[in-house]
Amino acid sequence: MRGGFGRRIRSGEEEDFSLKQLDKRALKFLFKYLKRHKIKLSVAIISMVIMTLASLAGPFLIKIAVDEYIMVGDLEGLTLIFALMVGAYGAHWLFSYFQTYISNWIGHTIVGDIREDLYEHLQDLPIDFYNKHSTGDMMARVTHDVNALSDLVSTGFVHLLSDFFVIIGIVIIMLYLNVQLALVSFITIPFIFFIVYYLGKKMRVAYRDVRERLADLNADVEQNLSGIRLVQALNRENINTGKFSKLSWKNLKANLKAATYFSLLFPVMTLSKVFGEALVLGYGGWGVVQGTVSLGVLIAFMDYVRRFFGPLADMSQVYNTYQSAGASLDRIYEYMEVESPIHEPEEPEVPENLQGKVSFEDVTFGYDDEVIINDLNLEIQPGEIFALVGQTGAGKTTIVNIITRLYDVDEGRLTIDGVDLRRYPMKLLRKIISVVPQNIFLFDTSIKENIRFGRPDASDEEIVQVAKEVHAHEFIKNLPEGYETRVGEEGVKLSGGQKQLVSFARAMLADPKILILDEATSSVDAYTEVMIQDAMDKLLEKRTVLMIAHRFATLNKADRIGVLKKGRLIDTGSHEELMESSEVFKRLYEKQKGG
Amino acid sequence: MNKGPGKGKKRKSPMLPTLLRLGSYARKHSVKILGVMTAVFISTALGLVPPWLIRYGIDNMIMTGNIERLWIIAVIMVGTALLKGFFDFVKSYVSEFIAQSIIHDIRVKLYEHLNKLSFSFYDESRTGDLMARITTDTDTLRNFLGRVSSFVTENILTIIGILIIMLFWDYRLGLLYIMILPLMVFGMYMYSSRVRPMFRKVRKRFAKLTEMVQENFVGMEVIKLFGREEQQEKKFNKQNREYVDISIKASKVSALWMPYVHFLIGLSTALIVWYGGRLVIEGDISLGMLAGIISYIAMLTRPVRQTGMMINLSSQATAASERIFNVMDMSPEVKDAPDAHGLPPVRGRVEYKDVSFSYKKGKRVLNCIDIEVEPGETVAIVGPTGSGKSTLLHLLPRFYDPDEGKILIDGHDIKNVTIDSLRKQVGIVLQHTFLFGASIRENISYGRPDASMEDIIRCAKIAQIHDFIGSLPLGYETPIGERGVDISGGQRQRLAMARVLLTDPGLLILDEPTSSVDVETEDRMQEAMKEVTKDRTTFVISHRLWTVRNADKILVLKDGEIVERGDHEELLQIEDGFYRKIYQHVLKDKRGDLP
Repeated sequence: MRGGFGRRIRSGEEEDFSLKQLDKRALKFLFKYLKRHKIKLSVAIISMVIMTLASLAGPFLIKIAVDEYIMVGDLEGLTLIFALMVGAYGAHWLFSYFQTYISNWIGHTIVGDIREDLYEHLQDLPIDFYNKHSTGDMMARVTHDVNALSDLVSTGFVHLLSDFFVIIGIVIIMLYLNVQLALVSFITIPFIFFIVYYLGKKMRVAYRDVRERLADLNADVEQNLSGIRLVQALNRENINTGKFSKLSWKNLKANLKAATYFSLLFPVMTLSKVFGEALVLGYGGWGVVQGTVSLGVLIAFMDYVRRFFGPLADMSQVYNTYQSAGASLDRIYEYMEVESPIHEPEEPEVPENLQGKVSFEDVTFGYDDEVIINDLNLEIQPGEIFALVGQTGAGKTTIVNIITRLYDVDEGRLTIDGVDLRRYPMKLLRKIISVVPQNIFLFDTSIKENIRFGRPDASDEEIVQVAKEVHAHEFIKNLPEGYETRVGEEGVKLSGGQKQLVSFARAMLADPKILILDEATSSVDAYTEVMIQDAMDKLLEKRTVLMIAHRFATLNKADRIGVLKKGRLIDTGSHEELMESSEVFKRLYEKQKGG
Repeated sequence: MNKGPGKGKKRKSPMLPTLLRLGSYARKHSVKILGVMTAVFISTALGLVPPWLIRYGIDNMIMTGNIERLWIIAVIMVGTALLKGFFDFVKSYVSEFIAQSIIHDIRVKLYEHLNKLSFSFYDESRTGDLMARITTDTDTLRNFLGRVSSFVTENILTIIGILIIMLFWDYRLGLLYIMILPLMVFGMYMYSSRVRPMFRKVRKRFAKLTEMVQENFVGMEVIKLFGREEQQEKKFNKQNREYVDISIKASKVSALWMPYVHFLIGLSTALIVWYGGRLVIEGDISLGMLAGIISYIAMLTRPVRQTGMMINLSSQATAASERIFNVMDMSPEVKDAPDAHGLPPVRGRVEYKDVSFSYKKGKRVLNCIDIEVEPGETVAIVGPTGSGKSTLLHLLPRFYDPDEGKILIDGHDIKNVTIDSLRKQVGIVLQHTFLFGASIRENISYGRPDASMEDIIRCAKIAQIHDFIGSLPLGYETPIGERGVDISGGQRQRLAMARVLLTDPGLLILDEPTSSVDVETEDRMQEAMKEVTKDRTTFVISHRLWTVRNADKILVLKDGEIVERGDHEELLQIEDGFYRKIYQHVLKDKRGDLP
């Protein structure tokens, strides 16, 4: 046994997946990677064959030693056998090293390549894909599923092949040594195979239950710990402990049930070995006396029957190994097949001396079948600050999504300086346009690195410079480690206002021609609000700006305001003009002022 | 200040005390442990029987041609194996039961203890890290408890038992066996010192890779908007390559040392055949003895392989239990005084007397705060981010204890009342709203699980969330959380409000209760809240001027000190006052904005 049996039982979770479902193309996809390592793979297989032969040579040599030297008293021959045995076991060690190392090398390398390609592919997919799939699911495919494939290539494939060889090898040698005794010994084969198969089945079910109970337990702990402050504030400690105790008890019971089957495994192993030995001793002993079996053969057979167990136990679980790897391959391939609807232009066009004029020409766009933006026409002049207002669901954020080409428009076109967005090289486009999104995402690194995200080649001085300009410097330098302070997962260590200032600095550093500002809706304290409004003035300077404004203080900075309703631009004009002419605007305004 | 649990620090603490402490949990299972030990003895002894029978069968029956009773030997062999199997089963099942029970006790105790630890502990700890202690670490311990003790005993007994039998059979063979032992120890040592640490490194790298993938997927929008795909991909590829490299390295080491045990057993067998064969030829030992010894040598595979594993499991378990006990030994910073009494029903007079507080030594967050609040008053607290507003109010339900000064409620020093009675009467809406993965009803009634549906609905109505809940198909039974409905920030806050109102606290603390609620809804909430706050003392931190303006008292907090206090009108009179400045700024920004 290689200790693989128990592990495979515990991780065999793909009960519902049938190997027949596996797409042929998914297999082709895998073989494409395998093919690159053809030579190495054949070396691994040859090593495996030599290793198997070497390991089977031992008992055979003992047989010769007993029958031809010990029984006749040939000391020199005995020394020769000793040398041969040491040689065989040495060869076994060496080739087993080659075999394992090379097949693992292939497995890890292939998997590394697949993971790299999968990641690259996923990154190229539009943001739409990310909105529709859970992060947990995507993560599982890039990490867990890819690793399962590695097991398949390195351990699964080569090991199972070696198991197969071992069994075939033993069978052939036994038949060669003594047909009758061999046939009797084979009785153990189905015995082992079916018992282990049955146990494996029971164990898989039991361990699935254990996993589920464990997941319940983990979920409870996570909830309790994440909400600990609330638990304490609301005096829930005792109730929660009682609940947890019950979950923990259920977990215990599930584990014990699995233990029932698991505890049977060792007895079965022992029994099958001793059963084999007893069979050989009983039947073979009789043969020795009859003169049909030599004593050496008897001793060798006892060794061979002991070796049946490991490979047979493994082979009884073949289907599960491949089932679980097949399901992983299927999931990986499913993602690889998704094509990105957004492409790099084939013939890119780059206007000289970029001005930053943005035009929407008869733009229509919708997610799936639902039309969100309806025949929109709008021109924003270079250096103009244009604000969009409208109720939730009017399509404001969607406009941000299409102007940044996170999505392509369905009809009409969007241009910058008269050139269609789709003609710009993606990289250039991202450089021209920067976004301050509504929900600010920060990476769990230092503040400095987060700001540098706007322009990777910026120097530390430049970072401090922009931080000063957007009034972020003051709070940053007061943090325990200044610019080196880590912001925590998704920036939890910073307040909402501080995160906004950091995201301003990030956009400022990128220094885009066109800035899209999607204002955060949540309010911050008055003092920070003043800072933010000031910082915004700096940020908006000398740029074409499209902003989604929620505060009227922000709206004041706009040269022109557009009122969006159900995906249509119903009014545009200055603040004063709109107060006169637009009923919708007036109502929105009154509503805000009402506070 | 107690800090979060130490992490990553390599303190090698002695294994023994930790294990002894674990032992204290095992005491109540002493009878069962005795049973397991007996089973181990018997099963090991039975395991040593078959080779003896083989020897007997060959020497006394086969060699003499006296085989009528050979079948009895075979049957006895199978019989001992069955009997051994029974004891093996009892052994592993009962020890699993003991391990599970101990772990259940530890887990519940740890959970209970975690619920008691103070906010200051949680400020310094990561949820994931604490979770690991209560889930992964306890599981490691279980593995250890369930296997190691019985395995180690069994293996040691096997090794010694074989030695005794060999010495008994023939002292020369015993000596040969003793010579092989150092090689076995070497094998165990190599396995535990080379192979295992490599796999630990592999796991670490994998965790790093996983973290990176997760962050990138969550932050994909930012990556795309700033056109950082290439850099992120490079970073990912680097991590991925490092993981592949370390995996290959690990498999190289394990490929070398895992088959070592095979080689060792093979070498021993070869030696036995060579030397033992010589003895047979010289007539010193019988052929049956040789066969029996070969069979014994084959039994050593398991002890050699397992001992290495056990050594590692033991060191892992020591580390795990250390991490668990580390948390258990932490005493809660805020706890009941020895002579604490219950707080009588609150009328609502609150006094802060010369209160100072710091999270970390030397950095004062609150400095000599004096407040007096009469029953039924509403107190608003304003001030810039980081001025200590939340901290000030967190002292009231004793989330933290002040370093100096004291706080009185109705004349009772809150340090002298029981925490339970205090928190039952002080209701707080925390700044970061946390909802549990349960139904809306369960979330609202979290602080009072026995509340009637009428009460729940009444409070939901006051918090202006009833209509929203009513619009959901499942109403109050709608699940919240990953698989539940999408809930906006404003809705979360209103749910949190309903949750606190349901506990009907004598004292109410609202920490930015409406920062994400839209203005219209907030208006309605204000109206409803008037009823709630009329005759109970309420503290509120808010950015909305409207709320602040109507408070009986306004406290302006700056750098941990109260710089201004009074009602709205009084504060506006202060020349150059902070409150006045903010207020004017808001007005100056025209159009009555609401920062």
